[in-house]
Amino acid sequence: MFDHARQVIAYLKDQGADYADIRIHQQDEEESISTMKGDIDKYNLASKQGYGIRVLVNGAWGFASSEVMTLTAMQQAGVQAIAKAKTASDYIQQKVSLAPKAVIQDSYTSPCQIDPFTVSTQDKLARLLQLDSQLADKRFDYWGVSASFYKRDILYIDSEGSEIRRHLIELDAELFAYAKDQNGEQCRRTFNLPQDANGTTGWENIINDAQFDHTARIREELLALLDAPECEKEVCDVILLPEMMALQTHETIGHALELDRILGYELSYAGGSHVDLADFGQLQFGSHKLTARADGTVANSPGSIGYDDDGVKARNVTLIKNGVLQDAITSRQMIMEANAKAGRTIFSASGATSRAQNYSNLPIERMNNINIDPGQDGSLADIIAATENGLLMETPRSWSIGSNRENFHFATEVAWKIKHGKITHMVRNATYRGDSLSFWNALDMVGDERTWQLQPVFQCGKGQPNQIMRLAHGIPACRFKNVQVGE
Amino acid sequence: MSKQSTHKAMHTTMQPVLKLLTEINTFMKNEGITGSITYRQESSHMVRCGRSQISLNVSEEGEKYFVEIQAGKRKISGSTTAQANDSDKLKTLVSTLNERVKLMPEVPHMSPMAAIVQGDLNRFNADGALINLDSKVMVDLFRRCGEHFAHGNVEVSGAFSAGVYSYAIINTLVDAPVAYQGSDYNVELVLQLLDHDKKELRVADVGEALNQFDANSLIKQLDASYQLLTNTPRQDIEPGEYDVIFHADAFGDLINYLGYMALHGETYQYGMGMLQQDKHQIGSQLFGNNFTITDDPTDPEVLFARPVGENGIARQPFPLISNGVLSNQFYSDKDDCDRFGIARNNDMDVASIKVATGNGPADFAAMVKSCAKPTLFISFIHYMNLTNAAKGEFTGSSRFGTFLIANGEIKAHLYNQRINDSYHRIFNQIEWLSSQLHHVNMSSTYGMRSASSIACPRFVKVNKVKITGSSAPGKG
Ligand SMILES: [Zn+2]
Repeated sequence: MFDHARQVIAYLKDQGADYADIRIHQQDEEESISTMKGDIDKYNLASKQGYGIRVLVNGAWGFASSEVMTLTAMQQAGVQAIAKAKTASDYIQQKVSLAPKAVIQDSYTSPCQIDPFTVSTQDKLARLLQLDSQLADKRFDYWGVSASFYKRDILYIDSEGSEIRRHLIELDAELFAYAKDQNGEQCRRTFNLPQDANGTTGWENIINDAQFDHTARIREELLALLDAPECEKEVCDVILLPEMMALQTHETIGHALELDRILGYELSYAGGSHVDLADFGQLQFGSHKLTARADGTVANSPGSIGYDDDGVKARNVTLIKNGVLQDAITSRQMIMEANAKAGRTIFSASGATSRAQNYSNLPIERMNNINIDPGQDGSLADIIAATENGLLMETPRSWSIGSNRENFHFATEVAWKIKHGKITHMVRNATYRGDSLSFWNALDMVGDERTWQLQPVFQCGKGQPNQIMRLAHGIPACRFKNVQVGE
Repeated sequence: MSKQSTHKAMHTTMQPVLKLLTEINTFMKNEGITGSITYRQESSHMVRCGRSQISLNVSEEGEKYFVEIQAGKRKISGSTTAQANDSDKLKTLVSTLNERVKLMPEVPHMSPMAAIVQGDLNRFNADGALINLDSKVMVDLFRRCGEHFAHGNVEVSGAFSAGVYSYAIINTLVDAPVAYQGSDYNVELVLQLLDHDKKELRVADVGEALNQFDANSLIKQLDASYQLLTNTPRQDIEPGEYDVIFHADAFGDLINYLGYMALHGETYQYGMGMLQQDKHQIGSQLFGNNFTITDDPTDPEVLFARPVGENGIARQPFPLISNGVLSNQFYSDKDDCDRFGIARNNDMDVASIKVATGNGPADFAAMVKSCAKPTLFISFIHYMNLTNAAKGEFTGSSRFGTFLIANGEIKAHLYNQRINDSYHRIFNQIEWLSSQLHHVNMSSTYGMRSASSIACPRFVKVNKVKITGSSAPGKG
């Protein structure tokens, strides 16, 4: 297939492409299994093959994809992409230019001990049903486990001479349980199996007996939630546990700092950003305790893929240092455009975050691992002990964010009231809201390494056509002062 | 945006597909396998604009075959990309699944597979002009919009999506596939006014055929909003309860969520929506008696009417909310229905929802004039989400022009306002619905193309909507 790809790129250069690349999904498999109340609810095997071709002509992008794997079909798709680029160039203000990058011949393989596709179907079903049985309780309406295994073999070749092959294996699994509370209204507890940032990504995660701790915790927490009082409306301190910190970071740091979004390319759909180019190097985005990064080099994460779809090697980029905004989530194209617009070099190199969900999509800026550095405020117990009046919150239930990511409203699955340094009781239906910048500036305690966890996210949507991306957030537990809750 | 009723010629690629489906179905029967095969195809074009330039001009061709096999009370499914000459690839998938289905545990409540509907139900409604669309039509809209507003310091953005989609279904209890082919376009055009506090405005359109698309009309509508936004001061209001007039683009979004929360039968059975089985059943008065919703594939006023669902179930006129009373709920998925021992009655994925019009103002000028008391006008809801599904509570923020109207005129252009309310309250507090119908695009651009829209009144006035914050600095 490398031969086909090389021939297509040479052909497109002959046909007038100033730049061309092709991404071929030689293999793209997904196996999904879900259980419910002791039954196998769904078992599905999905397989696809195809490629996407991207070209630059007259400073504009054209893109075409196809699933017909012959050389002729690839050339036809390429010619179609050239025609699209020419048409697009009828309405551009500034020609696309790409930041320099190293020419690479390399391959990348996800760290994996046990390839889930080599495990027998019987073993998989048996293990998931075993986890399912641990979630059961007579007060529950539904419970189960859903797991998806992904395996992709992707070739990338561009007209600058890079040739990259990636073998990616990912695992996404969730525990869930639903029950009616004292008012007959449904409550839930869910848990995404976290991945060890230094671990591996295969079936070994599912057979790890630590998962039984999680099934027991989810079951017990849901039982307690059913009789817990409602969260009251007040202004108090909030302590966000890692699943909630992942959402907070995702929505109000991650999406706000995508450079294409800052420039206005997502305006009609997802929205803009409250961040401006003038803010880089200046804006006090959060308190001095906040250091955030876009780190594509985390050893084990669905956000670590070795090279992005521009063929740039993964990097660890500091986005916010001691509260001050430094960098963004960037690609080759957008940094050139942003630097030109700002009239200064804000961004020195692509952050290697240009990614496409599928061969049928054009790559755009996507979060890789948007992480927050652990702090020096001790363990979770230390943070709770230091809190006079607060709420400890975990697991997103709903999220709604202003179109410029300037404000947010989040609901949580579970929360605990803290009074005088001690947890007093659980509360249900806890919500909180705030303005993004003032919220991050109210960050006053950051937990140490013991509270830091990598939370995978498999459902981040962005762009048109909409692309769902896999990524993660490595975050500690954090405390924020004076937050509006329960409204 | 009137409905095209003429039946068009079948897209030439469909005939080999129907032949292949029949061949694989026969293969399954000969092997003693019980199962179904569903085909889905799309040919999509999209042009996207940002910063007053084209950022993306893409095309996507996709064909997928979905196979489901049932062996007694065991079931398995799989899918693959394939072309119409790939019968071996599909037979391999069938054989793989047929081997593996034996490993599946029995599901006690699983019912036998049912035959898909048969008869003269094939529809080939695709517009030839959208099948072979030149992306110049799409690029030109944005270029012309840029030229029109060249005098102002504005940035043009938006997306224009157009294409053709097909599906066909067969199973081993019948001999012939049922097929549908349609086309659609949807477009949104957005301006950001750089000299006016980055105010944003938007127009949108959806249709079935290219001759329904009118670039001049869209730019004219945008111009009218532009005049309003540049001639009104920016203002903020205190949180509280306000009478709100929703434009169809905002109201359609509320209806779309209501569909999942109240009209989706499986959600109701799982208790995951806003209705509780002990309090709300078919026949319950859920909402105000001025509120009626139907799904009627024979209604000439809806777009994308499909006589058969992607699940092979025939679709008939289907009243959902009749004068506030719950009349029907959608049951589309066999696995979920089996769990509750309920028969499938429709396919919600291809529904053509319509909200009945009322006697309210027909156009923008009349709508403004009708507001003597202070009233908010919300044209669009950004990022709606459920804060408490069981209570029907949601939040979302207004966007693209939120106005304060009083004494029959527009007083101010507001910051984006955050709503925290419940669907129970909203649909019980409708004061009036406009007499004019408007089509709102509901197709997502995720996954394979499948057109969807909601027909609803152009404006709907709701009393006492809860506003809890705004995008004004420090008011989140
Ligand atoms: Zn996201």
